[in-house]
Amino acid sequence: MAVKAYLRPKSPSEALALIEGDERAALIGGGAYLRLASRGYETAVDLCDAGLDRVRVEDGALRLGAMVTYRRLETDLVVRDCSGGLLGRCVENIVGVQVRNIVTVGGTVAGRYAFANLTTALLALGADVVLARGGRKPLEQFLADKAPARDVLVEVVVPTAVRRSAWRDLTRVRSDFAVLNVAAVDVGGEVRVAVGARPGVARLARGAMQAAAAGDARGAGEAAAAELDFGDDLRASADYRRRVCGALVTRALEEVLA
Amino acid sequence: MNISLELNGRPANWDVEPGEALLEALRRHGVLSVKRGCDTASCGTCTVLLDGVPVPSCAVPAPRADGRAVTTVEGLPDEAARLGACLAAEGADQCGFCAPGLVVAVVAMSRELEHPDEAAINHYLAGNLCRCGGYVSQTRAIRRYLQEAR
Ligand SMILES: Cc1cc2nc3c(=O)[nH]c(=O)nc-3n(C[C@H](O)[C@H](O)[C@H](O)COP(=O)(O)OP(=O)(O)OC[C@H]3O[C@@H](n4cnc5c(N)ncnc54)[C@H](O)[C@@H]3O)c2cc1C
Ligand code: FES
Ligand code: FES
Repeated sequence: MAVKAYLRPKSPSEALALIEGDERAALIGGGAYLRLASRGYETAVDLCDAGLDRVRVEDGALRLGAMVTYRRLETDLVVRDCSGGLLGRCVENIVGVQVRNIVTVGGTVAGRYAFANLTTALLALGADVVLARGGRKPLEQFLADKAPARDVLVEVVVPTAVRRSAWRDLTRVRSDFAVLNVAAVDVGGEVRVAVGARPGVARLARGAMQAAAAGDARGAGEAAAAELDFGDDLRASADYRRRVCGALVTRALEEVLA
Repeated sequence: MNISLELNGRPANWDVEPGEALLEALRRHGVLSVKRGCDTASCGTCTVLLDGVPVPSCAVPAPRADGRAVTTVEGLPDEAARLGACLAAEGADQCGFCAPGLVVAVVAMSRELEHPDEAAINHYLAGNLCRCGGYVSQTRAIRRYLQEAR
């Protein structure tokens, strides 16, 4: 399908009006992954002028506009302070700076990519998403939505009470997609653990969180390996991932609980 | 559709397709230093500066350049000559296909990072692949360039 029109709405609501009811219209965040997608589109709705590239702290939460880039997550001191460095660390080895200068928070989260490091980190942090039509909801609920309506992701809201955080991922070669990724955080005294690239989309490991609350990092690793589902793909088998999961969750929690 | 941009310091008015990438538009308009390597945002040979920020031009919609400044290696002649001399001196230039993208990325790095050490250089340039495998000599050349530039 050849692209016939390119539009630059000035606000999320204008963007929403352009995509609602038009299956042939696609939103462009960074545009990096959209290019690789097999599904074509006729109308490109570029969000670069929609005022979504702001980073701000408001009412005790970090608000990341959908068009905030990965590079900004790495270099912005406000983002670094608020997330204990986790948001920068989880993306800093993805391809190179060129790509990280264009790929966005919104494109990643809205794409519900199972491999996405950032989604795992945001889930552990207890982030909410704000949608132009759907309003604010927990990221966990957003990811679980089986038949999502066409909508514009406006921003991601992240709690700032992060005391400690840890990131662990395993890649076959540097900058490849992760075989498995793990984020663990202590947010206001609650320890949260998320695991992604299993290869399914990121999930909270609630059994591991319970064990972590009792200070048991090793038990948490075992719990995560037992409670989550794992699958085979070209990078690794389900069994391998399960074992890696136990080890990475334990190591991440040893860092957070230390 | 029509876009107005600043290309290497000069105004340009281009007719671009709504679905084409900046890389395609640049090459169609004769800017052939910008190489098409992977076309999937993975190799860095198509790196250009968009308002001073290094981006993979194969993954940037051409219409997004409207009203903005695009810099390719042609717009960085002094830096290219100096870095090119360092690459040659260190035996780091082989087929040369990766060089234009590398030069643009190194210039961006030298503007962004103060005194990067080897680890910082390698991290910053991880998105610039070289099929001839000259990474070690490239890093030597880049360190030499940065030292001479001080
Ligand atoms: C070569 C390459 C290697 C990569 N490697 C990794 C890796 O190892 N690990 C990793 O975690 N990630 C990796 N990524 C993915 C990358 O980090 C981003 O997640 C991905 O590119 C999507 O971000 P984007 O801004 O480019 O989204 P886009 O391509 O612009 O959009 C993605 C999807 O989301 C929709 N969309 C965009 N913005 C919005 C919005 N605001 N609201 C609603 N819908 C929206 C689009 O229509 C599209 O369907 C890689 C990407 C590339 C190109
Ligand atoms: S051609 Fe653009 S990154 Fe390879
Ligand atoms: S010198 Fe040949 S690709 Fe780098």
